[in-house]
Amino acid sequence: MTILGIDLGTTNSACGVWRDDKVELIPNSLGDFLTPSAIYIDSDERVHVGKVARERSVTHPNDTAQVFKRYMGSRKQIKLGKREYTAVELSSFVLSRLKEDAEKHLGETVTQAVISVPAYFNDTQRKATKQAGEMAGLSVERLVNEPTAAAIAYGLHDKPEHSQFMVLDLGGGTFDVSIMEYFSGVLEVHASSGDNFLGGEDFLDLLVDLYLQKASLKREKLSRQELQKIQMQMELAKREFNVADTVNIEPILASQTESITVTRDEFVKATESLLQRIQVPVETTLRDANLRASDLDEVILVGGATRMQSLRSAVAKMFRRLPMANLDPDLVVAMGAAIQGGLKAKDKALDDVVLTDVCPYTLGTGTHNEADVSGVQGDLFSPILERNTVIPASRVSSYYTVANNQKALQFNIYQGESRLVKNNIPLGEITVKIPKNKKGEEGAEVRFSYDMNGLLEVDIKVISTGETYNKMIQNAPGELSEAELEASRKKLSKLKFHPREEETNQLLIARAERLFESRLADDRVTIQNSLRWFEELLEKQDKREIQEGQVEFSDFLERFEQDRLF
Amino acid sequence: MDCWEVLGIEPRSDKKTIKIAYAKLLKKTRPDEDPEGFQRLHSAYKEAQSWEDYYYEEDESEWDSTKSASEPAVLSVDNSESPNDVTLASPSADYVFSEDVKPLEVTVTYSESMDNDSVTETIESTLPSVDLIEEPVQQLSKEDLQLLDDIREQEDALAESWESFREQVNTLVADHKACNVVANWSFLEEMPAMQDLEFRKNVADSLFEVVSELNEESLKKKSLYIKRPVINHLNNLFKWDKHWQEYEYRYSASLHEAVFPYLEETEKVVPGSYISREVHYYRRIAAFAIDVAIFAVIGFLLFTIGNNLTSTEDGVLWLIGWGFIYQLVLTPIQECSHHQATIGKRIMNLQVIDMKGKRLGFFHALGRSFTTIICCSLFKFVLWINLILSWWKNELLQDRLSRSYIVLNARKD
Repeated sequence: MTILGIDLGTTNSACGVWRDDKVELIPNSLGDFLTPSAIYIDSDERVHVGKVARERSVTHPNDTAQVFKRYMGSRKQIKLGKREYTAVELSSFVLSRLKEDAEKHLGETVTQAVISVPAYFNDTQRKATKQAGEMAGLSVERLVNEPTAAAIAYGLHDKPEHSQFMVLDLGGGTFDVSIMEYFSGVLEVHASSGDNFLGGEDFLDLLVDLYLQKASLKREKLSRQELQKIQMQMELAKREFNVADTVNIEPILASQTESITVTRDEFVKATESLLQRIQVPVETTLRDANLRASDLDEVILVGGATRMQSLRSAVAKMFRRLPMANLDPDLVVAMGAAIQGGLKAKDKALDDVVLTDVCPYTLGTGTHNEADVSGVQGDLFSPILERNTVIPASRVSSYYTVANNQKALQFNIYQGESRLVKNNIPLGEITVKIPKNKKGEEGAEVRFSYDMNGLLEVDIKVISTGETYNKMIQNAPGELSEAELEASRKKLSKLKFHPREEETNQLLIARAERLFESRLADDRVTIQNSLRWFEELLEKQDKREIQEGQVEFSDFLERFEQDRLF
Repeated sequence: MDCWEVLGIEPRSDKKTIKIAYAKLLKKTRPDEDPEGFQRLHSAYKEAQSWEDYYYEEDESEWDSTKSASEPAVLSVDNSESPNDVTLASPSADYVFSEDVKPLEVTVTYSESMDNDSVTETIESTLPSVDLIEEPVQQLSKEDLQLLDDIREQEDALAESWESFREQVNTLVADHKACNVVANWSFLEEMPAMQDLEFRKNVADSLFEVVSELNEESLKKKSLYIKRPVINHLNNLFKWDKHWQEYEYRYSASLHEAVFPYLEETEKVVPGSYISREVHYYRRIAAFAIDVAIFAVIGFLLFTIGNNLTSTEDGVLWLIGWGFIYQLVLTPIQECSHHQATIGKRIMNLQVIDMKGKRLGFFHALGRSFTTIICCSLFKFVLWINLILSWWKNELLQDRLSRSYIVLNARKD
């Protein structure tokens, strides 16, 4: 039984399996390990996932979706063509595609998966991820924290006996920090922290702003399509900054005539505030693990955004050492997820590896705030499970009535670190009935159980009657109900995936069309002609000829794209 | 069963023995297969470790006693581990954090023994080797070499930066006026050494000590030496509130009480705007009606008494006098009392607060009552003008002021 390990990322996704005592990453139909987390739904209601969808984001911005992982666990509807989709549905498309790739590659059906999530994902976001997996026909055996997955990969690769290290995971949309220790086959996570709204995409946004400012363009005045074009070019420019001090950007929009130069210093200065934000979770984990920066043996960078030289330099200066990035930062989480899959499947080779993880945030309930007469502060937060408790964990606290003849106790469940509940994230509420009595005489025991997947269960026992309430959290904002899930499945069943085999051709056509749109006059004619030639070639349906044509056409497009940036 | 029995080792075993015992047992008690067993094992492991820490501290008490409690935890760091790769920056930081005039040279050496080869060997053989896709072998790039230079430079400058930080803070806090100007603290952000985590943490803790000690002292005289704007500015820089548990644990109650209550929640930018605003129409009307009823009953009694008791029948004077006493003495007293409400408001569960959510002073409450009278009078005044105008000129005040008039729609007829 193979368990697929999936890294479901904000910008890119990847998957792999543990087979023959090693990790095997799975290429998609284009031969890449990375599949962009982008969805395009064409006029025939066919779903395209990955690179094709990303190319289409320029030509068909209203029919494509990207960066939807940010909306996991929220009710936000993203409009694609005629219909609206939730982040869960869009994510399930990506997962379906990865599953299909894996089945093709392995030659067997895959029904089980381990999916990685940012360590700092909350309960609702984790449940949403699980639902996305189920919608794609995968039973999610385990949700593994991304930095933990990365650490597994490093742990098994380097076997750094008796070492403490920190993993900094800056992906497209989220930032995670974990401190771990590795000894005698045990990988122990000491502390995790993070920022759910900090990632490579934020750096890109600021670069786009910088460009717009230099080009004296206004974001509001641009169409979605124009903005997409600029974003795409800026993404290339952002990568260019890893090796070059200045990037020269040729006119992108038809209205522009002059090229614009952006220097690396300007980019670094514009993103300084983001670089400073990474310090907060780093400091928190160090304080929580009771360690000083110099106690760490290694600082490991994970996630595509850590390729940025400015980030590397900021991290190096924070720790006074060069960070390590021996494994491909884009793929290391998928490798770890694959190993976790092997662990879950009880693979013999992994018999001697045990992983312990922590719950990265504090969970608790709101309590009456007696000192707050004016109602300014609101309820106080009473932690039940403190952050960085090793999981699975289970803790009990007792709460008593505050008024005479109180009829019920209402438990509002929160996640967060603030003293006041209003600054924490509400997860749901449970109300239990209690017999009438003097204040302080009646009460309930509240047990919080946190499982290996980072999902919370609450048990409440009324002390005097012994009545128990075993409820999963209800009314969690953003969570889908069973009925909604059913409706969603129905909606999705109408959609079909674009055949996998045609993806290469689709991608080439999409790329050509994007180039066509971004060029003028002579260039357009050239592109148009080659595109027609390629389409005619496809009509002939000669396999060998098509294969040769693909290579030729791809080279042609490559040359075209390359003389764009210097 | 104590923690040593759970782990199956001698009490007071060292850290490594604890870890090896834990690792061995953990493989039989996996967290996903036996959650309860795992929780028992893990808490034993933690307990054993904390015992070990305790013994370790006892053994090391010689150096511990030389360090006064108020000094930052570690003044000089000498990390005996040597990095195995020459090209990597050595994590050993030889900079000295010296405090004020007496540079204490306390050196902490990590004494955790490194001879773990025997353990490593036995374990390595059982572990699978993993072939993963590696990044092309890291040749130190031009950028990285530059980085290494920068790091060394930064490292060399740390001691000096710390000196200058202490000096600047000391001069600044000596001047009560200057230290309450937020702009005067901008030197903190400009220090390049702030990029260093350890330095930043030491600065954060040291500033917390400075601010809390000064304020603890001044709070005895009911004032804040370092005022809210600067406290909040520093908190924004160093996120004391994110680590409130740690500060609460490390410092005395009176010290953190001298800082944390004065932090504004980040979302509250405009003072006063955080009180959720609502007029409470029905409650206020009801409260007003109750107050008026009480006023009227007592007023009526006084009026009759005044008319009957005195020969000159000055019941009206009594009534007017009662009105003044009620509005300008009784109401303010009630509203600044600990009930913070008149009888009507109390019955309707309302409360009077100021913009900071606190109880009003007497004069503040008096001002409030006086304003009520003026507003009521103005309202009555406008009412009267309207009455007079409508009777005399057949128009209302707004018609006259806006030079317009209202007629019936003639086209409909």
